[in-house]
This record gives sequence, structure tokens and C-alpha cells, in this order.
Amino acid sequence: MSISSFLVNRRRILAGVLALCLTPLAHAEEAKRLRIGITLHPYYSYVANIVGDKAEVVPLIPAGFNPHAYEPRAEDIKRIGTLDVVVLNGVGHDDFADRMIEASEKPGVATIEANANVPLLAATGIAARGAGKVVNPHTFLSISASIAQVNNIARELGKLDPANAKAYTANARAYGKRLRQLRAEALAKLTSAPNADLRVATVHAAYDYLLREFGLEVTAVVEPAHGIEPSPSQLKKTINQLRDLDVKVIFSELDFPSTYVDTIQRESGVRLYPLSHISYGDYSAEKYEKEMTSNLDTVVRAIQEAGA
Amino acid sequence: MSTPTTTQTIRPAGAGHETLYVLLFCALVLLVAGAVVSWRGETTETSEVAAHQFDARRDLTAGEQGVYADLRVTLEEIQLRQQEEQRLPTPAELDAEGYAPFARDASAVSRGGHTWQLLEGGAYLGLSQASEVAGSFLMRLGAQPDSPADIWLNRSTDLTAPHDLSDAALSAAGWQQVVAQFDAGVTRQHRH
Repeated sequence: MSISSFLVNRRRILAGVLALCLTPLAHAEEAKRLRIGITLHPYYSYVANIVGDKAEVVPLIPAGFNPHAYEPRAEDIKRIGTLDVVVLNGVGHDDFADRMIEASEKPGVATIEANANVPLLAATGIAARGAGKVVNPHTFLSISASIAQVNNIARELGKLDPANAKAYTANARAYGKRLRQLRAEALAKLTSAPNADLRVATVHAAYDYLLREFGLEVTAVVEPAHGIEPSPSQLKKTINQLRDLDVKVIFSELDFPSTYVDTIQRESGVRLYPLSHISYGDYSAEKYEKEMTSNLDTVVRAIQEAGA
Repeated sequence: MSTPTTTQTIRPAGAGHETLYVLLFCALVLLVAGAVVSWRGETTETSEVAAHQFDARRDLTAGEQGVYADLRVTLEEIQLRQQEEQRLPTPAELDAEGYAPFARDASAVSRGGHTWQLLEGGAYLGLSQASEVAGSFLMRLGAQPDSPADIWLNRSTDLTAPHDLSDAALSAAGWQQVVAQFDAGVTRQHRH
């Protein structure tokens, strides 16, 4: 083979390789799917159900990290550069996302405030500082507040992706209907309303929104902050408080068990019921419905066993 | 022979000025710190609601907060129906489809057991059976699906359906508008 024909061949091969590389890019441009970033597990389920196969949902933090104690890593920040929009809890459960977005290649990436339309409750315990302005960020642990967020996310996504806006609204309504059904099924198991005197406490200040759906109010919260165990003196104070207030039921954490909770049970005689914070394990579209079903069942069981 | 004695008073090097200087320096530090704090500090003012309004976070009972949150969610569905069917769904229809707070389940009972009716003029009225748990609610919708809607609360025990749904008439009858504020990210630094 002469040198010139070798060069010609080489050019052809290069052109072929280039064409092969560019073809998928051209296709991607034709049907551009949004890449939507999310920060917490429930938001993965919400967005996955809203968009179906019309967009891609990308968790900002990998599965297995506790969002209460997460510190951003370089590769997670890098990923933000590939996103079109980030859906935020925005009321205190994903404060790390702002810093990550700011440090990323796309500091101006669009964000959706999922809780913009949700009536928020004030934070309790140690978080209740700042003249009542700090709110309880666990809106995702409630059916009503979840439907409000799903509708809100669908509306905002529709503005960014008008071609699919109708599909997003329809999917959001169908998902909302399923969530409402979950609550209806749980409530149907209660033959009568919870006893008005039923006093409940929680280990972590996360379940106010959920319990409010049953008309229950949280009387006491055990942990000073998430995952921080109370000191022996705090524990003693809590046990006395539970006795004084005649608390019958305490909701603990399913995924973050602590031995001191057993001490509380032994000393105060309350019944323990573990609830899921839905922030543990793999991301999946069904996760929210699955874990909320078990949360709702747990609350129903607690109400029944308390003799409501 | 006596040596003449000379007495020389030696004043301290700073002549007591050190104390003054230290105090002045302290005052300066305090002034600078005070200036920085007043310049950089944030006021903790909370936006107050008007006299004829309730703040959804601070002024409502647990039961009322639950009913209010549910009403806001169901409102979106009602507005979509209004768009599609050109009419408002009745409380009975909403109950049958499980829309809280219209659904008559155990939760509705423990949150005041409201009885709902649709009023002329496009408003849903929920009269409470237990005012100490939760007051009565009124949700006003506009004639158009996208007109602004609002929610009012009244804790009186002997209530009847209001005939006039204007702001002034409702206020006069003891109703108060419920408003929710969205304080996004008090705990986070704003990028905006």
C-alpha cells in the first residue's frame, strides 16, 4: 500500500469514526429529555412518577448517605453540570444543595421549590429558633403535603418542558389519586376516630405532618436533633415528661435504631412504633408509596392498640 | 561632712495613662464591633398578619392545620374539574372520591367532623361539630377556574351559611382569612 492511499484510507476511517460518534448526539438533540436533579428519596419517587419515561431523574447524592449529615463530594458537584433543573425541598432538609449548585459548573441551573404552595408547620425542639421562622421541613412525610408538592413540581416542569406539560399534569393527578387512596385505605381500617386524649411523642421531629392527617398532635420530641442521642440527664427529663404528660405511644425511627429508645420504653412503659423517614436505601419510583403504606399502617395500628 | 540628699520623684513611665489607653482601646473595639453588628446583622422581624387574618402556622389548632392543608390540595383538583366540566363538584362527589377534608373518615371525625355544603356564588362551607377542636371553614372560589381562591375560618359555635360572600360581610360576621407564608430557606444562604 502506498503512503498516499494509506493516508486516504486513514481519513475515511477517521471520518467514519467521527460520524459514528456524532450520530447519538444528533438524536439526543432531536428529543431532548430533561435531566432533573433531586435531593431526597421521596422527591425521586414524585418526579419519576410525574415524568414517566419523558425525562431522567438524577439523585444529587448517592444512595446510602444520610441526608441529615451529608457533606458534598466533588463527583456529586460535578454531576450538577449535566442537569437542566433541580427539584428542592427548600425548607431545611436539603440545605447542602445550594452550596453544591453554587460550586458547580452551572451555578444558575433552574430550581423548583417543591414546598412553595404547602402550608408549613413550625419546627419543634432545638430547631425552633429564629422567631418561629424556621419550619419543619418533613413535608414529604404527609400525603396531603406530598400531593401539593407533586402538583407544584408538575406545573413547574411543564413550564420548562411545554411539549410534555399535559403528560406531566395527567401523571401528577394519577399519582395524587393513588396517594390519596393509600390514606383512605389506612383510615378505613379505623372503626372509630382516635381518642381525643391519645398523647403521642416522636423520637425525631419528623412526623408532625403525618400525624396531623390523623388529627393527632405531637406532645414531645425525644432527640435534640436528628441522630443525636440525648444525654443521660436529657433522657431522664424526657422520661419524666412522658410520664407527666401521660404519653401512651412513641414513634421511633425504623432505619436509625438506638438502644436508648429501649430505655425510654422500659422506664416509661410507652409503646414503641417505628416509622420510616424514607431516606434510606436505593432510589426508586415505588419507594414512596411502599414506605408510606407501612407508615400509615403503623399509625393506624398504634391508634387501634391505644384503645381508640 | 554630709552628703546633700536629693529627692527625685520618678513618675511611672506612663503616668497612669496606660489605664486610660487600654480603656479607650476597649471602647474602640466595642464601637467597631457594634458598628459591624448593626451593619451586618439581620432583623428578626416576622411579617405580621392583618387583624382580620389568621397565620396558618401560628394561629391554627392542629385540627385546623390539617383541614386547611387538605383544603388547599383539594382546591387544585376542584379548579381542574371546574375547567373541564364548567361546574363545581359537590361535597358528596368529593366525599365519594376520597378527597379530604370532604371524605367522611375517622380523620375527619377527629378534626371537628365538619359538614360540607356548596353555597351559591361558588364557595364551600364546612360547619364544625366541635369548635374547640377546629373552627368552621369557608373556601371561596371565583367564577373562573383561574380566579384566586381563599380560605376563611370562624370559631363561633352557632353559625349559619353566610349570604354575602364579600370580604367586608365575612369580617363583620366574625370570619377571618387564613394566610400561609412561605419562608423558603431561613436555614440556608440565599443565592438570589
